[in-house]
Amino acid sequence: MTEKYAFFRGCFIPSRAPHIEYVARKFLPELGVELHDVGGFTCCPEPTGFSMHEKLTWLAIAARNISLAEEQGLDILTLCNGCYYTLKHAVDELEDAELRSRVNEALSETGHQFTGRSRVMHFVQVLDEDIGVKKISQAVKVPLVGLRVAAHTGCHFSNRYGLEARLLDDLITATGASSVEYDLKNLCCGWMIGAYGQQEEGYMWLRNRLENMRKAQADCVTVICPQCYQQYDTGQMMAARKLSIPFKTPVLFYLQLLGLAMGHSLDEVQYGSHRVKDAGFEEKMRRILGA
Amino acid sequence: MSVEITIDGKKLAGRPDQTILEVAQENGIHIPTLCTHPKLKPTGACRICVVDIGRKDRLEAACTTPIYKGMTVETSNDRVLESRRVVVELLLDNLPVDAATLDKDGENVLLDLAEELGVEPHRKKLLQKPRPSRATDTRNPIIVRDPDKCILCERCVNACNELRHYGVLNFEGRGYHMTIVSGVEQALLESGCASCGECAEVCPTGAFRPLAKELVQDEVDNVIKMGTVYPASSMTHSARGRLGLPPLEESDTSDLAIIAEKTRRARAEGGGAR
Repeated sequence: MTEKYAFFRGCFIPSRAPHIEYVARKFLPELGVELHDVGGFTCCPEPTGFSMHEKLTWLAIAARNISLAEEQGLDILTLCNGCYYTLKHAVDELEDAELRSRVNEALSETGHQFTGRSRVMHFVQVLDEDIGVKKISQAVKVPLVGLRVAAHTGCHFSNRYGLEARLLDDLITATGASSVEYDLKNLCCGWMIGAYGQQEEGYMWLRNRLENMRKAQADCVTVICPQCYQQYDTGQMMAARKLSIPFKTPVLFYLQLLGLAMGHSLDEVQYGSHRVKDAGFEEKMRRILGA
Repeated sequence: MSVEITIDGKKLAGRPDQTILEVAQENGIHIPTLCTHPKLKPTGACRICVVDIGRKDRLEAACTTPIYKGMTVETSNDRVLESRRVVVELLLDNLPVDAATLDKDGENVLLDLAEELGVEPHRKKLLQKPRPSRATDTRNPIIVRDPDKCILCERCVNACNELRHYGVLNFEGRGYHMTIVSGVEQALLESGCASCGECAEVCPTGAFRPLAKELVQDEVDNVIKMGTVYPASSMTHSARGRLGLPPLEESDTSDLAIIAEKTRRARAEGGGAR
Protein backbone atom coordinates (compact mmCIF):
# COMPACT_ATOMS: atom_id res chain seq x y z
CA MET A 1 0.00 0.00 0.00
CA THR A 2 1.23 3.44 -0.85
CA GLU A 3 0.81 6.50 1.34
CA LYS A 4 0.76 9.81 -0.50
CA TYR A 5 2.05 13.08 1.00
CA ALA A 6 2.51 16.67 -0.03
CA PHE A 7 6.31 16.87 -0.29
CA PHE A 8 7.53 19.91 1.63
CA ARG A 9 11.20 20.24 0.66
CA GLY A 10 11.74 23.53 2.45
CA CYS A 11 14.23 26.02 1.08
CA PHE A 12 17.55 24.70 2.38
CA ILE A 13 17.53 21.19 0.88
CA PRO A 14 16.64 21.97 -2.76
CA SER A 15 19.18 24.75 -2.95
CA ARG A 16 22.05 23.79 -0.62
CA ALA A 17 21.80 20.02 -0.20
CA PRO A 18 20.01 18.68 -3.30
CA HIS A 19 21.51 15.22 -2.75
CA ILE A 20 19.22 14.91 0.29
CA GLU A 21 16.22 15.61 -1.94
CA TYR A 22 17.64 13.03 -4.33
CA VAL A 23 17.83 10.23 -1.73
CA ALA A 24 14.32 11.10 -0.47
CA ARG A 25 12.87 10.88 -3.97
CA LYS A 26 14.76 7.67 -4.62
CA PHE A 27 14.31 5.67 -1.42
CA LEU A 28 11.01 6.79 0.14
CA PRO A 29 8.89 5.48 -2.78
CA GLU A 30 10.60 2.10 -2.38
CA LEU A 31 9.04 2.00 1.10
CA GLY A 32 5.58 2.92 -0.15
CA VAL A 33 5.80 6.66 0.48
CA GLU A 34 4.60 8.65 -2.52
CA LEU A 35 5.87 12.22 -2.65
CA HIS A 36 3.55 14.64 -4.39
CA ASP A 37 5.00 17.98 -5.54
CA VAL A 38 2.59 20.75 -4.60
CA GLY A 39 3.06 23.96 -6.58
CA GLY A 40 3.43 27.21 -4.67
CA PHE A 41 5.17 26.15 -1.45
CA THR A 42 7.54 28.81 -0.11
CA CYS A 43 9.99 28.88 2.81
CA CYS A 44 8.18 27.44 5.84
CA PRO A 45 9.26 30.26 7.13
CA GLU A 46 12.46 30.06 9.13
CA PRO A 47 11.56 29.02 12.68
CA THR A 48 13.71 31.05 15.05
CA GLY A 49 14.43 34.70 14.28
CA PHE A 50 11.38 35.23 12.09
CA SER A 51 8.96 33.85 14.68
CA MET A 52 10.46 35.92 17.48
CA HIS A 53 10.12 39.21 15.67
CA GLU A 54 7.14 38.86 13.34
CA LYS A 55 5.00 36.15 14.83
CA LEU A 56 1.75 36.88 13.00
CA THR A 57 3.44 37.13 9.58
CA TRP A 58 5.33 33.94 10.36
CA LEU A 59 2.14 32.08 11.30
CA ALA A 60 0.26 33.37 8.27
CA ILE A 61 2.95 32.29 5.78
CA ALA A 62 3.10 28.88 7.45
CA ALA A 63 -0.71 28.67 7.30
CA ARG A 64 -0.63 29.47 3.58
CA ASN A 65 1.82 26.63 2.96
CA ILE A 66 -0.33 24.20 4.93
CA SER A 67 -3.47 25.34 3.12
CA LEU A 68 -1.91 24.34 -0.22
CA ALA A 69 -1.60 20.75 1.04
CA GLU A 70 -5.11 20.90 2.48
CA GLU A 71 -6.47 21.89 -0.91
CA GLN A 72 -4.95 18.67 -2.32
CA GLY A 73 -6.38 16.64 0.57
CA LEU A 74 -2.87 15.55 1.58
CA ASP A 75 -0.82 15.41 4.76
CA ILE A 76 2.55 17.14 4.68
CA LEU A 77 5.89 15.32 4.78
CA THR A 78 8.99 17.36 5.63
CA LEU A 79 12.66 16.41 5.55
CA CYS A 80 13.71 19.23 7.86
CA ASN A 81 13.39 19.82 11.60
CA GLY A 82 12.99 23.56 11.04
CA CYS A 83 10.13 23.15 8.57
CA TYR A 84 8.54 20.59 10.86
CA TYR A 85 8.81 22.95 13.80
CA THR A 86 7.27 25.91 11.96
CA LEU A 87 4.42 24.05 10.31
CA LYS A 88 3.53 21.92 13.34
CA HIS A 89 3.75 24.94 15.58
CA ALA A 90 1.37 26.81 13.28
CA VAL A 91 -1.14 23.95 13.31
CA ASP A 92 -1.05 23.87 17.11
CA GLU A 93 -1.24 27.63 17.61
CA LEU A 94 -4.05 28.00 15.09
CA GLU A 95 -6.31 25.81 17.18
CA ASP A 96 -6.98 29.12 18.89
CA ALA A 97 -10.10 30.34 17.07
CA GLU A 98 -9.34 34.04 17.38
CA LEU A 99 -5.78 33.69 16.12
CA ARG A 100 -6.97 31.49 13.29
CA SER A 101 -9.50 34.07 12.17
CA ARG A 102 -6.80 36.77 12.21
CA VAL A 103 -4.52 34.58 10.12
CA ASN A 104 -7.31 33.67 7.72
CA GLU A 105 -8.18 37.34 7.39
CA ALA A 106 -4.56 37.92 6.28
CA LEU A 107 -4.90 35.02 3.80
CA SER A 108 -8.30 36.05 2.47
CA GLU A 109 -7.07 37.99 -0.57
CA THR A 110 -4.76 35.15 -1.61
CA GLY A 111 -7.67 32.78 -2.10
CA HIS A 112 -6.37 30.34 0.55
CA GLN A 113 -7.82 29.41 3.94
CA PHE A 114 -6.23 27.44 6.76
CA THR A 115 -8.54 24.75 8.13
CA GLY A 116 -6.20 22.46 10.10
CA ARG A 117 -7.26 19.34 8.17
CA SER A 118 -3.78 18.21 7.12
CA ARG A 119 -1.32 16.55 9.44
CA VAL A 120 2.26 17.85 9.50
CA MET A 121 4.68 14.93 9.58
CA HIS A 122 8.45 14.75 9.79
CA PHE A 123 9.64 11.93 7.54
CA VAL A 124 10.84 9.93 10.56
CA GLN A 125 7.29 10.06 11.94
CA VAL A 126 5.97 8.85 8.59
CA LEU A 127 8.47 5.98 8.69
CA ASP A 128 7.67 5.18 12.33
CA GLU A 129 3.90 5.69 12.42
CA ASP A 130 2.57 5.30 8.87
CA ILE A 131 5.04 2.83 7.37
CA GLY A 132 6.28 1.05 10.47
CA VAL A 133 9.71 -0.05 11.57
CA LYS A 134 8.82 -3.63 10.63
CA LYS A 135 8.38 -2.74 6.98
CA ILE A 136 11.68 -0.86 7.03
CA SER A 137 13.45 -3.91 8.44
CA GLN A 138 11.90 -5.95 5.64
CA ALA A 139 13.27 -3.53 3.04
CA VAL A 140 16.82 -3.98 4.39
CA LYS A 141 18.83 -6.15 2.02
CA VAL A 142 22.27 -5.66 3.56
CA PRO A 143 21.99 -5.28 7.36
CA LEU A 144 24.65 -2.81 8.47
CA VAL A 145 25.85 -5.12 11.22
CA GLY A 146 28.85 -3.76 13.07
CA LEU A 147 28.30 -0.14 12.05
CA ARG A 148 28.26 2.14 15.10
CA VAL A 149 26.05 5.15 14.51
CA ALA A 150 25.72 8.25 16.68
CA ALA A 151 22.11 9.38 16.36
CA HIS A 152 21.63 13.13 16.35
CA THR A 153 17.93 13.98 16.35
CA GLY A 154 18.24 17.76 16.50
CA CYS A 155 16.56 20.13 18.85
CA HIS A 156 13.70 21.40 16.71
CA PHE A 157 12.32 17.91 16.53
CA SER A 158 13.22 16.01 19.68
CA ASN A 159 11.90 17.10 23.07
CA ARG A 160 9.25 19.15 21.37
CA TYR A 161 5.69 17.92 21.56
CA GLY A 162 6.90 15.07 23.75
CA LEU A 163 8.59 13.35 20.82
CA GLU A 164 11.68 11.52 21.81
CA ALA A 165 15.01 10.78 20.24
CA ARG A 166 14.14 7.10 20.50
CA LEU A 167 12.41 7.34 17.10
CA LEU A 168 15.74 7.75 15.36
CA ASP A 169 17.39 5.06 17.50
CA ASP A 170 14.70 2.59 16.39
CA LEU A 171 15.08 3.54 12.75
CA ILE A 172 18.87 3.13 12.94
CA THR A 173 18.48 -0.25 14.60
CA ALA A 174 16.12 -1.27 11.81
CA THR A 175 19.02 -0.96 9.33
CA GLY A 176 21.02 -3.50 11.33
CA ALA A 177 23.44 -0.84 12.61
CA SER A 178 23.71 -0.04 16.30
CA SER A 179 22.79 3.34 17.73
CA VAL A 180 25.47 4.17 20.29
CA GLU A 181 24.91 6.05 23.52
CA TYR A 182 27.06 9.14 23.96
CA ASP A 183 27.19 12.05 26.35
CA LEU A 184 24.71 14.88 25.85
CA LYS A 185 23.10 12.99 23.00
CA ASN A 186 19.98 15.11 22.76
CA LEU A 187 21.61 18.50 22.57
CA CYS A 188 21.52 20.95 19.69
CA CYS A 189 24.02 20.62 16.80
CA GLY A 190 24.98 24.26 17.28
CA TRP A 191 24.24 25.32 13.72
CA MET A 192 22.21 28.33 14.80
CA ILE A 193 24.97 29.54 17.07
CA GLY A 194 27.27 29.96 14.11
CA ALA A 195 24.52 31.10 11.75
CA TYR A 196 23.72 34.06 14.00
CA GLY A 197 27.26 35.28 14.29
CA GLN A 198 28.94 33.38 17.16
CA GLN A 199 31.14 31.34 14.85
CA GLU A 200 33.83 30.44 17.41
CA GLU A 201 31.23 29.30 19.96
CA GLY A 202 29.59 27.22 17.25
CA TYR A 203 32.83 25.44 16.39
CA MET A 204 33.66 24.70 20.02
CA TRP A 205 30.17 23.41 20.55
CA LEU A 206 30.53 21.11 17.54
CA ARG A 207 33.95 19.84 18.63
CA ASN A 208 32.51 18.91 21.99
CA ARG A 209 29.71 16.91 20.33
CA LEU A 210 32.13 15.17 17.97
CA GLU A 211 34.47 14.26 20.82
CA ASN A 212 31.59 12.68 22.74
CA MET A 213 30.68 10.61 19.68
CA ARG A 214 34.31 9.65 19.23
CA LYS A 215 34.54 8.44 22.82
CA ALA A 216 31.56 6.18 22.12
CA GLN A 217 33.46 4.79 19.10
CA ALA A 218 30.89 5.96 16.58
CA ASP A 219 31.80 5.37 12.92
CA CYS A 220 29.48 8.10 11.70
CA VAL A 221 26.72 10.44 12.83
CA THR A 222 23.20 10.23 11.45
CA VAL A 223 20.88 13.23 11.24
CA ILE A 224 17.34 13.97 10.11
CA CYS A 225 17.66 17.68 9.45
CA PRO A 226 19.54 19.53 6.71
CA GLN A 227 20.91 22.19 9.05
CA CYS A 228 22.28 19.51 11.38
CA TYR A 229 23.66 17.85 8.26
CA GLN A 230 25.43 21.00 7.19
CA GLN A 231 26.79 21.58 10.68
CA TYR A 232 28.33 18.10 10.83
CA ASP A 233 29.58 18.26 7.24
CA THR A 234 30.73 21.74 6.15
CA GLY A 235 30.74 22.90 9.78
CA GLN A 236 33.01 20.01 10.80
CA MET A 237 35.39 20.82 7.98
CA MET A 238 35.59 24.47 9.07
CA ALA A 239 35.83 23.61 12.78
CA ALA A 240 38.67 21.18 12.06
CA ARG A 241 40.59 23.98 10.34
CA LYS A 242 40.09 26.41 13.20
CA LEU A 243 40.44 24.04 16.14
CA SER A 244 42.55 21.25 14.58
CA ILE A 245 40.26 18.32 15.36
CA PRO A 246 42.45 15.23 14.85
CA PHE A 247 39.74 12.90 13.51
CA LYS A 248 36.84 12.87 11.05
CA THR A 249 33.31 11.66 11.68
CA PRO A 250 31.32 11.52 8.43
CA VAL A 251 27.63 12.39 8.63
CA LEU A 252 24.83 10.54 6.87
CA PHE A 253 21.30 11.85 6.50
CA TYR A 254 19.12 9.00 7.75
CA LEU A 255 17.80 8.25 4.27
CA GLN A 256 21.38 7.76 3.07
CA LEU A 257 22.00 5.24 5.85
CA LEU A 258 18.76 3.50 4.95
CA GLY A 259 19.73 3.53 1.26
CA LEU A 260 22.97 1.73 2.11
CA ALA A 261 21.04 -0.90 4.05
CA MET A 262 18.66 -1.26 1.11
CA GLY A 263 21.62 -2.41 -0.93
CA HIS A 264 22.89 0.78 -2.55
CA SER A 265 26.54 1.81 -2.71
CA LEU A 266 28.18 4.83 -1.11
CA ASP A 267 28.21 6.45 -4.56
CA GLU A 268 24.51 5.81 -5.05
CA VAL A 269 23.60 7.47 -1.74
CA GLN A 270 25.63 10.50 -2.88
CA TYR A 271 28.37 10.20 -0.29
CA GLY A 272 30.54 11.84 -2.96
CA SER A 273 28.74 15.15 -2.32
CA HIS A 274 30.03 15.28 1.27
CA ARG A 275 32.80 17.55 2.52
CA VAL A 276 33.90 15.28 5.37
CA LYS A 277 34.99 11.85 4.19
CA ASP A 278 36.99 9.32 6.15
CA ALA A 279 38.96 6.45 4.65
CA GLY A 280 38.44 4.25 7.73
CA PHE A 281 34.67 4.71 7.52
CA GLU A 282 34.66 4.04 3.77
CA GLU A 283 36.71 0.86 4.24
CA LYS A 284 34.37 -0.37 6.97
CA MET A 285 31.30 0.38 4.83
CA ARG A 286 32.74 -1.49 1.87
CA ARG A 287 33.39 -4.46 4.14
CA ILE A 288 29.85 -4.39 5.53
CA LEU A 289 28.29 -3.91 2.10
CA GLY A 290 30.42 -6.74 0.74
CA ALA A 291 31.68 -4.64 -2.14
CA MET B 1 -24.55 23.22 36.06
CA SER B 2 -23.85 26.88 36.54
CA VAL B 3 -22.44 28.49 39.67
CA GLU B 4 -23.77 31.88 40.67
CA ILE B 5 -21.31 34.39 42.03
CA THR B 6 -21.19 38.15 42.51
CA ILE B 7 -18.27 40.20 41.22
CA ASP B 8 -18.25 43.92 42.05
CA GLY B 9 -21.98 43.79 42.71
CA LYS B 10 -22.82 42.08 39.42
CA LYS B 11 -24.59 38.72 39.61
CA LEU B 12 -22.81 36.35 37.23
CA ALA B 13 -22.90 32.67 36.34
CA GLY B 14 -19.85 30.52 35.80
CA ARG B 15 -18.92 26.86 35.47
CA PRO B 16 -17.69 24.95 38.54
CA ASP B 17 -14.24 24.42 36.94
CA GLN B 18 -13.64 28.12 36.40
CA THR B 19 -11.46 30.49 38.37
CA ILE B 20 -12.47 33.98 39.49
CA LEU B 21 -10.20 35.44 36.80
CA GLU B 22 -11.81 33.41 34.03
CA VAL B 23 -15.33 34.44 35.02
CA ALA B 24 -14.26 38.07 35.34
CA GLN B 25 -12.57 38.06 31.93
CA GLU B 26 -15.57 36.43 30.27
CA ASN B 27 -17.76 39.21 31.66
CA GLY B 28 -15.47 42.08 30.75
CA ILE B 29 -14.35 42.81 34.31
CA HIS B 30 -10.69 43.89 34.38
CA ILE B 31 -8.38 42.27 36.93
CA PRO B 32 -4.72 43.12 36.30
CA THR B 33 -2.36 40.15 35.94
CA LEU B 34 1.38 39.66 35.65
CA CYS B 35 2.55 36.05 35.92
CA THR B 36 -0.54 34.73 34.13
CA HIS B 37 -0.06 34.11 30.43
CA PRO B 38 -2.65 32.78 27.96
CA LYS B 39 -0.39 29.88 26.97
CA LEU B 40 0.43 28.80 30.53
CA LYS B 41 -1.34 27.28 33.49
CA PRO B 42 -1.89 29.84 36.26
CA THR B 43 0.48 29.60 39.21
CA GLY B 44 -0.57 32.43 41.51
CA ALA B 45 3.07 33.44 41.86
CA CYS B 46 2.97 37.24 41.55
CA ARG B 47 -0.07 38.24 43.67
CA ILE B 48 -1.04 41.05 41.31
CA CYS B 49 -4.46 39.61 40.55
CA VAL B 50 -5.48 39.43 44.22
CA VAL B 51 -9.16 40.05 44.99
CA ASP B 52 -11.22 40.36 48.15
CA ILE B 53 -13.63 37.47 48.75
CA GLY B 54 -14.62 38.67 52.21
CA ARG B 55 -11.96 36.89 54.25
CA LYS B 56 -10.50 39.10 56.94
CA ASP B 57 -7.14 37.34 57.04
CA ARG B 58 -6.22 37.31 53.37
CA LEU B 59 -6.81 38.21 49.75
CA GLU B 60 -6.98 35.48 47.11
CA ALA B 61 -5.26 35.22 43.74
CA ALA B 62 -8.04 35.41 41.14
CA CYS B 63 -6.05 33.31 38.66
CA THR B 64 -5.92 30.20 40.85
CA THR B 65 -8.98 30.47 43.09
CA PRO B 66 -11.95 28.41 41.90
CA ILE B 67 -15.41 29.93 42.17
CA TYR B 68 -18.08 28.53 44.47
CA LYS B 69 -21.80 29.12 44.84
CA GLY B 70 -22.65 32.40 46.51
CA MET B 71 -19.07 33.75 46.34
CA THR B 72 -18.83 37.53 46.59
CA VAL B 73 -15.78 39.10 45.00
CA GLU B 74 -14.52 42.67 45.07
CA THR B 75 -11.84 43.30 42.47
CA SER B 76 -10.81 46.87 43.21
CA ASN B 77 -11.58 48.03 46.75
CA ASP B 78 -8.95 49.96 48.73
CA ARG B 79 -7.56 46.87 50.42
CA VAL B 80 -7.03 45.14 47.05
CA LEU B 81 -5.51 48.17 45.35
CA GLU B 82 -3.12 48.80 48.23
CA SER B 83 -1.97 45.17 48.15
CA ARG B 84 -1.32 45.33 44.41
CA ARG B 85 0.56 48.59 44.78
CA VAL B 86 2.85 47.13 47.42
CA VAL B 87 3.55 44.12 45.23
CA VAL B 88 4.53 46.33 42.30
CA GLU B 89 6.65 48.54 44.56
CA LEU B 90 8.49 45.56 45.99
CA LEU B 91 9.04 44.03 42.57
CA LEU B 92 10.47 47.28 41.25
CA ASP B 93 12.55 47.92 44.36
CA ASN B 94 14.05 44.44 44.45
CA LEU B 95 15.58 44.90 41.00
CA PRO B 96 19.27 45.75 40.92
CA VAL B 97 18.63 47.97 37.87
CA ASP B 98 16.66 51.13 37.27
CA ALA B 99 13.11 50.43 36.19
CA ALA B 100 13.64 52.55 33.08
CA THR B 101 15.90 49.84 31.63
CA LEU B 102 13.09 47.29 31.75
CA ASP B 103 11.54 48.43 28.52
CA LYS B 104 11.33 45.58 26.03
CA ASP B 105 10.57 46.62 22.48
CA GLY B 106 8.13 49.23 23.72
CA GLU B 107 6.22 46.77 25.89
CA ASN B 108 6.69 46.10 29.56
CA VAL B 109 3.97 44.56 31.65
CA LEU B 110 5.47 45.65 34.98
CA LEU B 111 5.81 49.29 33.96
CA ASP B 112 2.28 49.24 32.55
CA LEU B 113 1.06 47.93 35.90
CA ALA B 114 2.97 50.61 37.80
CA GLU B 115 1.24 53.21 35.69
CA GLU B 116 -2.18 51.62 36.13
CA LEU B 117 -1.77 51.46 39.91
CA GLY B 118 -0.18 54.88 40.28
CA VAL B 119 3.24 53.63 41.41
CA GLU B 120 6.07 55.99 40.53
CA PRO B 121 8.97 53.80 39.28
CA HIS B 122 11.65 56.32 40.27
CA ARG B 123 10.46 57.08 43.82
CA LYS B 124 12.54 56.33 46.94
CA LYS B 125 12.95 52.59 47.28
CA LEU B 126 11.25 50.58 50.01
CA LEU B 127 14.10 48.12 50.35
CA GLN B 128 17.43 48.94 52.00
CA LYS B 129 19.28 47.23 49.17
CA PRO B 130 18.11 45.42 46.08
CA ARG B 131 19.12 41.84 45.37
CA PRO B 132 22.63 41.21 44.03
CA SER B 133 23.35 42.00 40.40
CA ARG B 134 24.14 39.11 38.03
CA ALA B 135 25.97 39.12 34.72
CA THR B 136 24.12 39.19 31.41
CA ASP B 137 24.51 36.05 29.31
CA THR B 138 24.98 37.06 25.68
CA ARG B 139 26.83 33.98 24.47
CA ASN B 140 23.68 32.49 23.00
CA PRO B 141 23.07 34.63 19.92
CA ILE B 142 19.37 33.78 19.76
CA ILE B 143 18.35 34.64 23.30
CA VAL B 144 19.86 37.23 25.59
CA ARG B 145 19.46 36.56 29.30
CA ASP B 146 19.61 39.53 31.60
CA PRO B 147 18.92 38.29 35.17
CA ASP B 148 18.87 41.83 36.58
CA LYS B 149 15.55 42.46 34.86
CA CYS B 150 13.94 39.28 36.20
CA ILE B 151 11.00 39.55 38.61
CA LEU B 152 10.76 35.77 39.21
CA CYS B 153 7.25 35.59 37.78
CA GLU B 154 7.85 31.98 36.69
CA ARG B 155 6.56 32.41 33.15
CA CYS B 156 9.85 31.33 31.52
CA VAL B 157 10.21 28.31 33.80
CA ASN B 158 6.70 27.14 32.98
CA ALA B 159 7.12 27.81 29.27
CA CYS B 160 10.35 25.79 29.21
CA ASN B 161 8.87 22.92 31.19
CA GLU B 162 5.17 22.80 30.32
CA LEU B 163 5.07 24.08 26.78
CA ARG B 164 8.38 22.79 25.51
CA HIS B 165 9.24 19.90 27.83
CA TYR B 166 12.88 20.97 27.80
CA GLY B 167 13.21 21.38 31.54
CA VAL B 168 16.22 23.65 31.10
CA LEU B 169 15.04 26.61 33.20
CA ASN B 170 14.32 26.38 36.89
CA PHE B 171 14.49 28.26 40.18
CA GLU B 172 17.60 28.18 42.31
CA GLY B 173 17.96 29.46 45.88
CA ARG B 174 15.37 30.82 48.27
CA GLY B 175 13.93 34.20 49.10
CA TYR B 176 16.37 37.04 48.57
CA HIS B 177 18.80 34.75 46.74
CA MET B 178 16.27 33.14 44.44
CA THR B 179 17.14 33.29 40.76
CA ILE B 180 16.29 31.55 37.49
CA VAL B 181 19.02 29.21 36.29
CA SER B 182 19.52 27.21 33.11
CA GLY B 183 20.81 23.68 33.54
CA VAL B 184 23.06 23.38 36.56
CA GLU B 185 23.70 27.11 36.79
CA GLN B 186 25.26 27.02 33.33
CA ALA B 187 25.28 29.50 30.50
CA LEU B 188 22.32 28.97 28.17
CA LEU B 189 24.65 27.60 25.51
CA GLU B 190 25.91 24.86 27.80
CA SER B 191 22.66 23.98 29.50
CA GLY B 192 20.80 21.96 26.87
CA CYS B 193 18.81 25.02 25.82
CA ALA B 194 17.48 24.47 22.30
CA SER B 195 17.19 28.20 21.65
CA CYS B 196 13.47 27.85 20.94
CA GLY B 197 12.78 31.37 22.16
CA GLU B 198 9.66 30.58 24.17
CA CYS B 199 11.15 32.16 27.32
CA ALA B 200 11.87 35.35 25.41
CA GLU B 201 8.33 35.33 24.11
CA VAL B 202 6.62 35.03 27.47
CA CYS B 203 9.02 37.12 29.60
CA PRO B 204 7.20 40.30 30.66
CA THR B 205 10.27 42.41 31.45
CA GLY B 206 12.97 41.56 28.93
CA ALA B 207 15.01 39.36 31.30
CA PHE B 208 14.89 36.92 28.40
CA ARG B 209 14.69 38.66 25.07
CA PRO B 210 15.20 37.66 21.46
CA LEU B 211 18.30 38.40 19.46
CA ALA B 212 18.63 41.76 17.78
CA LYS B 213 16.24 42.13 14.89
CA GLU B 214 19.06 43.30 12.61
CA LEU B 215 20.50 39.77 12.70
CA VAL B 216 17.39 38.26 11.13
CA GLN B 217 16.08 41.13 9.03
CA ASP B 218 17.73 39.83 5.85
CA GLU B 219 16.18 36.41 6.34
CA VAL B 220 12.73 37.85 6.90
CA ASP B 221 13.09 40.08 3.83
CA ASN B 222 14.35 37.19 1.68
CA VAL B 223 11.41 34.99 2.62
CA ILE B 224 8.89 37.66 1.70
CA LYS B 225 10.64 38.84 -1.48
CA MET B 226 11.90 35.52 -2.82
CA GLY B 227 10.00 32.86 -0.88
CA THR B 228 13.29 31.39 0.34
CA VAL B 229 16.16 32.10 2.73
CA TYR B 230 18.54 30.26 0.40
CA PRO B 231 18.24 31.42 -3.22
CA ALA B 232 19.57 28.95 -5.75
CA SER B 233 23.08 29.54 -7.06
CA SER B 234 24.57 28.36 -10.36
CA MET B 235 26.11 25.48 -8.38
CA THR B 236 22.62 24.52 -7.19
CA HIS B 237 21.32 24.32 -10.75
CA SER B 238 24.22 22.22 -11.97
CA ALA B 239 24.07 19.87 -8.95
CA ARG B 240 20.32 19.38 -9.44
CA GLY B 241 20.83 18.75 -13.14
CA ARG B 242 23.53 16.16 -12.41
CA LEU B 243 21.19 14.36 -9.99
CA GLY B 244 18.27 14.47 -12.44
CA LEU B 245 16.13 16.54 -10.05
CA PRO B 246 13.39 18.84 -11.34
CA PRO B 247 14.74 22.36 -11.99
CA LEU B 248 14.22 24.94 -9.24
CA GLU B 249 11.86 27.65 -10.29
CA GLU B 250 11.55 31.03 -8.66
CA SER B 251 8.65 31.20 -6.24
CA ASP B 252 5.64 33.34 -7.00
CA THR B 253 5.67 35.57 -3.93
CA SER B 254 2.68 37.78 -4.70
CA ASP B 255 0.71 36.02 -1.91
CA LEU B 256 3.53 36.65 0.57
CA ALA B 257 3.59 40.37 -0.18
CA ILE B 258 -0.15 40.56 0.55
CA ILE B 259 0.20 38.49 3.74
CA ALA B 260 3.14 40.53 5.03
CA GLU B 261 1.38 43.80 4.32
CA LYS B 262 -1.80 42.71 6.12
CA THR B 263 -0.16 41.07 9.14
CA ARG B 264 2.25 43.97 9.66
CA ARG B 265 -0.64 46.40 9.55
CA ALA B 266 -2.57 44.27 12.06
CA ARG B 267 0.48 44.24 14.33
CA ALA B 268 0.91 48.00 14.09
CA GLU B 269 -2.73 48.36 15.09
CA GLY B 270 -2.10 46.23 18.16
CA GLY B 271 -3.41 42.91 16.84
CA GLY B 272 -0.20 40.90 16.84
CA ALA B 273 0.05 37.25 17.71
CA ARG B 274 1.37 37.86 21.24
